Amino acid sequence: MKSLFVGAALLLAVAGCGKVEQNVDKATPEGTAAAKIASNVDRARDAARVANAMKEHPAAADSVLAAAGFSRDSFEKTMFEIAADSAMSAEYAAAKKP
Amino acid sequence: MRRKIPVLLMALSIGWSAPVRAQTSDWVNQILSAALLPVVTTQARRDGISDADIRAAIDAMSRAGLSAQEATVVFDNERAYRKEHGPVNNFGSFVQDQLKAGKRGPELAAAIKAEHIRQGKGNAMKGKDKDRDNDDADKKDKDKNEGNRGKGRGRPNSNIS
Repeated sequence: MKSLFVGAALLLAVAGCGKVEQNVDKATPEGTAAAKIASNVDRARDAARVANAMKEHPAAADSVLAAAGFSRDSFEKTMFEIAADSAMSAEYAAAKKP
Repeated sequence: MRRKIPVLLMALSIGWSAPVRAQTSDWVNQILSAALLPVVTTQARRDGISDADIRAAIDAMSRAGLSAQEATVVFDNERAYRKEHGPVNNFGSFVQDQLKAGKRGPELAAAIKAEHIRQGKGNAMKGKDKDRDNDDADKKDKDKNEGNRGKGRGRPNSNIS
């Protein structure tokens, strides 16, 4: 049962990770300000998904972080980065489950 | 013997997993609190704390090596003190100064609370708001009366904005 939860959490996190890569691909060629904003908004949503997955499956939190390409430190740094930006934090807050 | 091995493995896995869970729960709780930082800053912006102040405070806390969990607590406290005592000027630079002075945790929270009490905007603002509310109510009554007296004249919705 526990392995089922871990598997589900990993799948969620990996799905989120895949989306980040897709968005980066879209954003990098033009490098416009609009693309950067869109990419930041997606990053915020993806981080919220990771936070939601950790909250739902705390026992698998490390695996969830790793599958999304985060370490504990890098996740914390991302939280600071998102919190400093009003648009990103609003997007994150909307996507974060209570 | 064949039966004993799975039972033994199961017992070992339970024995191993219990302490691991105990060890991880602290950091998981910390990271779950850290994950609330953008939520709390969004609420703080909605409460009226300026974006510049929030950025300055976050920058200072990050540079001072505070964890995102500690930063969440600072903003949570700031929101509570703001509600209780009213806003303070330059929250961001105040936090910067306190961190430079080496204050952390409860000491930092106490300094922020003392600043809210010292600036005393809460009572002054409450008084002003009350006066303004009374003035608005008087004005609305006046407009209403005038509207009844001269039907069709003036702009009846001019006070809506």
